Amino acid sequence: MEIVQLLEKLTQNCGVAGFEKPIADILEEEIKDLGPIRRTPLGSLICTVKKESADKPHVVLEAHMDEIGLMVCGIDENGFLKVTRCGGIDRRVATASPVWIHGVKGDRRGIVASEEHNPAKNPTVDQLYVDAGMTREQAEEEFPIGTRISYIGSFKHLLEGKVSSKALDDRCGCAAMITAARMLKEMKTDCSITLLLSVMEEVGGMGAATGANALQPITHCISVDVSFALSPELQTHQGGQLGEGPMVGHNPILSREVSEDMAQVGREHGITHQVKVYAGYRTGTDADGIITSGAGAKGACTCIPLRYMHTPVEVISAADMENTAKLAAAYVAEKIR
Amino acid sequence: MMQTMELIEKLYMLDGISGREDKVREALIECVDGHCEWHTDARGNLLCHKKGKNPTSKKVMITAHMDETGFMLTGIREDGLISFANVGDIDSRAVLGKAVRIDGKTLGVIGTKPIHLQTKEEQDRPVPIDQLYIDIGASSKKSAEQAVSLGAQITFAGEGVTEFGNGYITGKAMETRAVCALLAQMLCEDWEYDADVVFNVSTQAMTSGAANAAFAIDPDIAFIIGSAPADDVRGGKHNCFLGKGPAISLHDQMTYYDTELYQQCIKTAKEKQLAVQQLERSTAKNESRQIQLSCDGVRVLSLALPCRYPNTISAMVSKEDLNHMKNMIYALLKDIEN
Repeated sequence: MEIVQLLEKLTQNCGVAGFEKPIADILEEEIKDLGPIRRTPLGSLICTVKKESADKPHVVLEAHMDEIGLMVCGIDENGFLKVTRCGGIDRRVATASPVWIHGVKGDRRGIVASEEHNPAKNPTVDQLYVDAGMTREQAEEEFPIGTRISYIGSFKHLLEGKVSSKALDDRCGCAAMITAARMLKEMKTDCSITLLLSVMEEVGGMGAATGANALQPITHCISVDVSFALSPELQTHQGGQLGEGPMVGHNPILSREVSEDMAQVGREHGITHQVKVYAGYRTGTDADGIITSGAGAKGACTCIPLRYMHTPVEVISAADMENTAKLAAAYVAEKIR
Repeated sequence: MMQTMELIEKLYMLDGISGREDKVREALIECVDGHCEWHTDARGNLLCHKKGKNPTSKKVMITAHMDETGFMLTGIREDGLISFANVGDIDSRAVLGKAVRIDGKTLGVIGTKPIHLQTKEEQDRPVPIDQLYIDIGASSKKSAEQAVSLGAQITFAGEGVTEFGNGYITGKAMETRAVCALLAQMLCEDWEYDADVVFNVSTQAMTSGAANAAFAIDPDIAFIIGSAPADDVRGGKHNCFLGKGPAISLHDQMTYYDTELYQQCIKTAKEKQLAVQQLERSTAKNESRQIQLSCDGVRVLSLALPCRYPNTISAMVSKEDLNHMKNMIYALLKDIEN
């Protein structure tokens, strides 16, 4: 599957929230054949895939490019890097993780360690630090305060077409939306189509909200993020099934019409998908910010089920990602006109 | 002759928990063959006799273990997930969120409930290893059984061997494999004095392998080349440091070492200006006691390679310490004889 190769490339590059430039450059190269590209002041990528007259609907296909990580907030007398969270770092899994420190002289290897030496206690985020094997002077020269740090989590093929890596959240969404845009480029459509790959989702969704403001007027949006796939610790209502296709979301903030149409298109085309209710008053994804931007848009949040979110060993089914691309493309071609 | 780094990298990819050291042993044999007399025994130990330029009056055995800490596959669940148990002491906090390799081929991951759904209590309390599971991507027991079986060895997959910072090396099982690589490379050099070098099995299983080799060799003196946790880190006790040479101690959790050898080591270090660090406290556990107890008694000294973050995928050692270790071993062999 071509999309899996794209996913491997995207996950194995880095872009911690607030410092997405490395991954943005890779993405820009990847989508440059799809249409004119510009970057927002915060760094989100906007690609005009199809441009119709102003009276036609305008759909935004969105996924976020940033990943969770750590950020240098101090350097101690022995050269150890004190860190703070950049998004929802899970302090239970951080210990002993190898990381890249994105310093001014290039990426350097480091190890996440903790001051909590009692094995009966997990460290707090404040107790985590990064060992770069350097003296204080060297570290200060290479890693100014604010230097981002990302997990190393190589791309692995598991059984039954499942794959594991760091940053599948949300590079698999990026791969799906790029693939959908590529399909739509060749399909007969009757609306303007913009691809928005946004920054800063992991720290509050600022990239998508401002990207959407830059794209007004928008009539529709399809936001693709990841959502919990069931694993033994979860209750049935907390997630979808890995391998059973994109989770077409229902939530008060989402358009009931779009969600139902999308499920219908899925059924008609035999695209495996599952319907999922997101409890609460919002989805907690970029969809919220886009739907409520400008004069408002009808939005869908279609999520790829993922296990072990925010760890270096996230797991998805590659087929779910491919079906997400197919479903989004088919929906746009048939229903947005 | 293979350089130490190259050999470390080669050994790194060869998984070997206690009782499954075959591949590590084969790689070591490949390296030392032609440079010493070697044979293997019933337990799987690799016994090498190195002929020096001079014969010795005392028989010296130098031993390092080949096995790494890891896990064994104890069950395949109906939902295709894998149950496992640890072999050796492993901090469960270093296990979550890591990838593993089963019988050297099938990859799996040890995941957890996403942070978004965890309660404060769940975030604070480490999950015991017996409550964790491995996901190999199988959605049913039947599917998993095509790839893995009960009793399989499981090791961390790790993220490669890397040199970083000021001459450090990091990777899974580094504390073990760095020492094996060093001794194997030393065996390819010319030695002043005869010695028996053993690459032993089953340190994580009753620290038992080296004792069998000692019984066969019947040495007067044994140097046990293991590792010591370097606590020169944030929140650490600053007792054992990276880069300050092999660590020695009077006793640890299992062994009272030979005081004369201990003092000889200090003397040698002082006279020859070699690096050695005397640990005030040691929590190490190694095969020394079993060796001490073999035959009619063996005088033992542990020379430990300092290692930060041991038994994780990010074990960190210093290349300088490997050099210090080598110099100390050669110097001790000489001083003991003279």
